[in-house]
Amino acid sequence: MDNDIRRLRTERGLSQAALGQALGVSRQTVNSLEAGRYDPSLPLAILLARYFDTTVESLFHLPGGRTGRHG
Amino acid sequence: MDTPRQLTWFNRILLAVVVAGGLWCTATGVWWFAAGLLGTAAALGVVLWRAVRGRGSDTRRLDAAQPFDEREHAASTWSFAVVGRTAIVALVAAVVVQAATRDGRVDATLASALVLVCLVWATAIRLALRRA
Repeated sequence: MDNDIRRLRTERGLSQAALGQALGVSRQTVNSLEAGRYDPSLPLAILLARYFDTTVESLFHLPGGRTGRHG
Repeated sequence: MDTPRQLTWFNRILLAVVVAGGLWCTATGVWWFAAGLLGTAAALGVVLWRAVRGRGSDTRRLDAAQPFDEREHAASTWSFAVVGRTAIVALVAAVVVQAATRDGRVDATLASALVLVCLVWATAIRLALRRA
């Protein structure tokens, strides 16, 4: 899933290791999240959104700009 | 990196078996095997000490069956599922080959291993569905 984690992290001058430590995950997992290779669990997605003071919907985007809304 | 995680049940059992085996071999005087088992336990201890603290690479932590976070846990679960399927297929093949080449006689240990793996598989399925 596409996301803004890398942009938000670099804007704050954080390393992947520092973000991982703050969230309780490994540096490699932060790298996988940023690359869109790994979709986080709902609790981790909420933790990420809270850490960056945003919402899950703003942080993660469905592929191809899908909204998931009816109509 | 972070607060040390708990040892997985797999590693607790593995470490206990290796240490107990090493002590047993020491008591019975099988020195070369005792040295090998206790050396393995020491090496495993060092690897696990690093893994529970999130040190080293994710590959090394999963090699040690000690995932650090949810992504590594998912990868570990997937890889162990592959191991389980491979074990069942390999054991079935071994039983079939023995039965075909030894007039229907199958080694009791091999047959027991197959029954045990299938029982664990069936139990695990039911537990997983109950938790989901």
